[in-house]
Amino acid sequence: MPKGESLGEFEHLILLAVLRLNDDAYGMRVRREISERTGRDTTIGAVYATLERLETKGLVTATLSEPTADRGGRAKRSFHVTALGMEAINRTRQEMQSMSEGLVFHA
Amino acid sequence: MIDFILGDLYEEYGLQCGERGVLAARVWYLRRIMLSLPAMIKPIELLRPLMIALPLLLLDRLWCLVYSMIPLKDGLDRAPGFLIANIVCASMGAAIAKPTQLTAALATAFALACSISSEPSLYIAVAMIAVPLTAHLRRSYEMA
Repeated sequence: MPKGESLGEFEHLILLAVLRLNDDAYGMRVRREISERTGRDTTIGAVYATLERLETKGLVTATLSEPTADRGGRAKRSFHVTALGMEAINRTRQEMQSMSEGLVFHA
Repeated sequence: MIDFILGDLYEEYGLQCGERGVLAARVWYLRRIMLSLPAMIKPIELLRPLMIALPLLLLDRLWCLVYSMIPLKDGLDRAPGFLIANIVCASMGAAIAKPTQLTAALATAFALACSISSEPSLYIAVAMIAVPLTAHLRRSYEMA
């Protein structure tokens, strides 16, 4: 990822959700994690579209599992954050902290 | 991506059944299917059958023009079956080269639409929207 290219807000949320879920990060889990923690009702399509974009950028990698009955005989695609992804998360967090520093937020 | 999305929705449908009841879960599931359609059917998927069928359609029109220039064949129409057979074969070839069932289904629908109407644009539009939609709704109904 070129220096200076920050993550989008949703990309950031998705990366954090993948990180939280560790080895169990796939579309449905990521969607539920975001929904439970932020109250956002996102669609599974939006989650997958973002995950694919992050994969193209090299921020996550995907592994394919065998089809199971509880998924209607369909395979599962699990995602993991790469070193580049961790770097992007840290950079975005630092940018946010730096921009928020010294500001007073009124309710 | 369609398979992963449908697998995830199916799995979550099971969870929703336990959390909210079967009826609410079915409503949730159908709504999610509808919301996920744009992600499942990418615009390129809709364009692919056109890319297969359009050259064959133009070739068919060219043959009609050539026929009209030959005195003994003037006024003869090529059988629509030729066009259908050409497009179905090309679709199957495309599906084998890049296994996308949707492409074959859409291109076949396109061919049928072209063969039944002299003004096919409306039929093409209907077929290109209706075929994938029907396939997904049928699958979701079977699951629910």
